[in-house]
Amino acid sequence: MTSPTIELFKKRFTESGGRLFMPTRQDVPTILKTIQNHERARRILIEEPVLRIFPLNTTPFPGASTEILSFGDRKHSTRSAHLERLRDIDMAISTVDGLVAETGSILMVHRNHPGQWHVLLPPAVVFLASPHQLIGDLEALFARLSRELESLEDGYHLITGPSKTADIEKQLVIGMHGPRSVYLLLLSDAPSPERDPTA
Amino acid sequence: MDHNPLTNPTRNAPASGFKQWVRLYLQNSRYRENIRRATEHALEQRRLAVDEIPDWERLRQEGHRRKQQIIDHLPEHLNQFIENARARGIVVYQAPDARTANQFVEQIARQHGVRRIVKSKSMVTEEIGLNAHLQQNGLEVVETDLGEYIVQLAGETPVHLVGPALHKSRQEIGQLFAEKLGVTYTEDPSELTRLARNILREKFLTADMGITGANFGIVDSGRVVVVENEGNARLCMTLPRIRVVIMGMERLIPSEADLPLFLTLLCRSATGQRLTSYVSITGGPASSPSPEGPEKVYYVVVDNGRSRLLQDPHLKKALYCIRCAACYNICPIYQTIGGHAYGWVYQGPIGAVITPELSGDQRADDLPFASTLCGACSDICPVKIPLHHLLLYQRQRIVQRTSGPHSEKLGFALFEKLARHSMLWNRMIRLLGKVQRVFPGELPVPGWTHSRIFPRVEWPTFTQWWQKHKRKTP
Repeated sequence: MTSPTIELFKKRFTESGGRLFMPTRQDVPTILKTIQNHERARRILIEEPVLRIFPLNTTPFPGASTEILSFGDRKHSTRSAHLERLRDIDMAISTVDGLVAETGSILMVHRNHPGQWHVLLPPAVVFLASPHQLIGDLEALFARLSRELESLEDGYHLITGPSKTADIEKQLVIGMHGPRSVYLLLLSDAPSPERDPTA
Repeated sequence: MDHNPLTNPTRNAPASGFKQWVRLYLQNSRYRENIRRATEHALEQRRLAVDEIPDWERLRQEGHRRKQQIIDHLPEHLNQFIENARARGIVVYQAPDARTANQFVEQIARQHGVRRIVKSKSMVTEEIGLNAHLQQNGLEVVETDLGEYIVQLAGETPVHLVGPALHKSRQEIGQLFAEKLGVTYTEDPSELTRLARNILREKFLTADMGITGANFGIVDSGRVVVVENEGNARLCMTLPRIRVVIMGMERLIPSEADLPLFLTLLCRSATGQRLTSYVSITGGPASSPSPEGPEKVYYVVVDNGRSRLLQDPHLKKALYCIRCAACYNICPIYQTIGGHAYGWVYQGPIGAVITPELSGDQRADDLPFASTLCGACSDICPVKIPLHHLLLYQRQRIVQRTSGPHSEKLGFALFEKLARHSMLWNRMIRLLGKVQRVFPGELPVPGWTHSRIFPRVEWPTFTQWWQKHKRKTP
């Protein structure tokens, strides 16, 4: 991935209101703790695919409870129990399925995650990604996606910055219904994912 | 009692017509100031976003071409879309009119024992009067887009396609919240937003059914695309057990490969963003077991007068519309009178073109005349709908259909006679010039000079001047 694409992504992601870090793997725990502290997060949820990139279950957050959202939960959890579990989460940590430089967007392909609620309900979300996942523009994104659109089942979505509204006198307010804080940790030394859904 | 949901249900549309309505809103200076500020802001945001795209004109052309392909063969594309959606396990219902669409949604709710419905912004549901229907049948419907929530609390309708509550000042919204929600008065937008968020979050968590519109339906995948900033549409489509998508039958684009184009055209034209915070491309219910996501997905594809537009070789171009509201913002009429003065759900230039057909109501006949024909709407339209030509065309049709007032007919017959005979014309103009010199005040012509100035004849007239000077010119 060429560096102009990374530079464009950094610019656009930040302009959209996202907060970007480019740590090495070694720095990740420190940065996550800083974010946790900043967000005053007491209940943290980590989705299972994160663990494939980074063994976060061995990194406890001080003063917070940490739980893992796993694919297995899909089979065992009832709707109400699942909702009960997720409704009071303060911060979620998730992987991404692509990054679009042109718009500073994050791609989420639903089948690659144990759910969709965890990146929508809490006030803060932290995404972990690798520079391999960068895509130049929307054209390139949809060209790549089109090869396996049929198998994408229940769909996908793009997240560009935090939830926002300008419905009162056109004044921008961050954090309407979705997260008010969107962090991205672009791991400079991340291994290529075993299974890149967009490749 | 007015049963046409297309009309503004805040008040009955005035029997005396649109002009009376406009006069009323022109007197409301706070409303006008809010509209002016909002449209100005939106235009500036759009300009900045569009300036980033060097080949914007080519994109518009391309958007026009791809929508034309769809609309020219709409029945085939629609069948294909529905077939593909059904293959994903989605139940699709085609509603010929508002009544059947509303009944179908009610029936879905009954079938699944639904009590509370959360809803994201959808103009087609405003058009068919869905909320009123569901509420009359004992269901709770909560609008969750902040602007929509505000107008729902106020018992009003959206004043704009993109900003439903942009006519309200923060003070008005603060008072509304204090009055309807029993909270302490505040006019701080962040605080008002937080209040709404907390109330609506509880509604989301306890809703049985979520209703969204669709910005695009994708023919070759049967998926729908929803574009938003707040995240409320994502909550509506993923939290409740039952998901219902309501869309106009013209909302189609050929494939997901068309999304880069249409997302660029829509987001930049509507809000001046490169992309909105959330763009969801969703299919049917999850194929593997999951405690999340809807168990059942329904599409309600609404005609409600769109076939009438489709049958007309010119008006069918209005079906290319992607509902960005750029034509509202740029229109000198909309800027001056605001959305509510139109008295209908769809306003601005596009509303003036489509409402007479969608409503089939003669009271909408005034709308195409609410235009200066300046053409700014056609110039700004991201899919190049020739809006001012369509406005003129609608006027023609309306005049032919209703044959217009007798005095106007008489006037034009007289004009035709005079214009065909230069002697008569010259004499008439000279006479008029003399009259105007004797009576220098404005010449009143009933029904015409009310909102126009009768032009003054130049004196001497051109023909008089020419007679005097023509020999001197070589």
